[in-house]
Amino acid sequence: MPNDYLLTVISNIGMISLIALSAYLLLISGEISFGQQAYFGISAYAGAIATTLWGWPLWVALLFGSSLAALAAGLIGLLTLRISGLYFSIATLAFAEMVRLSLFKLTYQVEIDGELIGPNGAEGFGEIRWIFDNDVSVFEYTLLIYSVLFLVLFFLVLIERSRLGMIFRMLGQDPLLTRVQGLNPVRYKVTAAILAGFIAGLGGALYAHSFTYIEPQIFNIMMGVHALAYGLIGGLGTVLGPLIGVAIDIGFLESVREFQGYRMIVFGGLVALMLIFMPRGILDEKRVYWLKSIARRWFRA
Amino acid sequence: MLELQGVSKTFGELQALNGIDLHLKRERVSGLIGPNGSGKTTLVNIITGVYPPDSGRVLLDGKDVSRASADQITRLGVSRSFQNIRIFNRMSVLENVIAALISQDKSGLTTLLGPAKRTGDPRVTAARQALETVGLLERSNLSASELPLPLRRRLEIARALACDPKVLVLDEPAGGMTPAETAGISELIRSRIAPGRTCVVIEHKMDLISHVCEHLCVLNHGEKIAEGDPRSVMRQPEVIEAYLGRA
Repeated sequence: MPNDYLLTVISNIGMISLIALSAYLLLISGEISFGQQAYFGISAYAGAIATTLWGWPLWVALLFGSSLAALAAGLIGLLTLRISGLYFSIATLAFAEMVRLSLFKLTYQVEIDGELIGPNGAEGFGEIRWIFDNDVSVFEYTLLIYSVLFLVLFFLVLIERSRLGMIFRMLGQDPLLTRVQGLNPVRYKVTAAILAGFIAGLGGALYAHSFTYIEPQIFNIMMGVHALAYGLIGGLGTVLGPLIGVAIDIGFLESVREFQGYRMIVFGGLVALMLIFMPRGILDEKRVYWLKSIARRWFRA
Repeated sequence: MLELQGVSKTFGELQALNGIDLHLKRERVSGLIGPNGSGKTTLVNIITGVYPPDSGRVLLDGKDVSRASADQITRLGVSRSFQNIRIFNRMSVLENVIAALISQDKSGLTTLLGPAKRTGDPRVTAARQALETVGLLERSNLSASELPLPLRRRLEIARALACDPKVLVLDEPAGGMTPAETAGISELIRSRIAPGRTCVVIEHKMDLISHVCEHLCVLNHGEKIAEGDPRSVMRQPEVIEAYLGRA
């Protein structure tokens, strides 16, 4: 059995992969969002409130938090329809900051066993005890995280092979050309935003129950920047790209003791180098296409 | 088939089009020529819904489509290629053509989540037929970005052709090509694309225009200065003056 530190790193990779996949879905659709941490945070708070204060089962809380995140993402998607590029990125960042600052003001506490529990502004939200109350080990919770992650990956692979996935990639390359193919970009941009919000939400709700304590400061711009960078490092040609990005950052840079204190410097440099030499990441569309053709030849032989 | 009635468009101080009337008859290849900045591409953008006209009407089969968006116009049966080539570079040649056929599917979640390309799918068959028509079938699995310019132009035509449009608009289909390549695309349009189809061809190359067009319209400074049989139009003094300047 792996030790708890290793399990924590592994489970962290799983949860952060979800926000990375969320940013990836928008990236392949041509939108750079600096605000996916908002949906991660909304769902973290909503999911934790649902289990801790209302006594809901975890799976219902996960769906509740993620649906709320998807709803918020859909609304922001609708509000930002007429903007794209840099302006869209700024709008998403502004919304994420609004959410984070609102969480500083959020106080909703309920007395449980003589103790006030719930979000308390800047002090955060502790005592998210579902994992303890249900006697769930770190290993079991890690399995749960990876079950959710694999479901999301399965769904995204399905989308990648579908007409919807093709439309997302068309939008990501040329919105006007997509429109003159008879497709309304608005509908698909909002669809991508809702799906991405839901996926980030799953990560957020799992995160809150894993760490048992959350505070607004966790869901800051750095989380959004990392989420974006994972896809850009790992590659935008396949859903596995963002996972490679997360594995490099959290699995390697954050976990190897030699990098302690230098992580952000190394990570920032890595992002800069990737943007110069591999602007669409390690597994970009060309390499994925090449790997697939090799695999086809291999299986035919 | 497609009719423009008094179409005008301005961009700031610039009058790009001024009261253009044009009637594109069914199954006829019409040419649209004019010096740079005469308003040809603006007219194409209005026909295909990229811009709405400031005034005037665009009628497709008698129905007013002046306010329809580009995606609606495409679904109504108007397809186009672009003066500055626009293809999906990070997709294969075949996928580029399939992209044009997605909007023809019935909308619905199950359709959207269905596979984008499956052997035997009618859309894949239609896409392959369009590629065969323009001579690109053997390259269908290549990445579109690997194609040289003349073949990219052919890919654009295949994409526009795939959904069997009522009106096909080709914006400078021989742009940037050598004389030999121009002759090739000209013959392709005349023998394989145009027959039985309503087409509008925008071009500067008169060889191509006279080879494929049965009707010609000339624009200059946003106004129609001549229209009719290509040979007689090209002899008109206003047309010669617009192209060559006053003697």
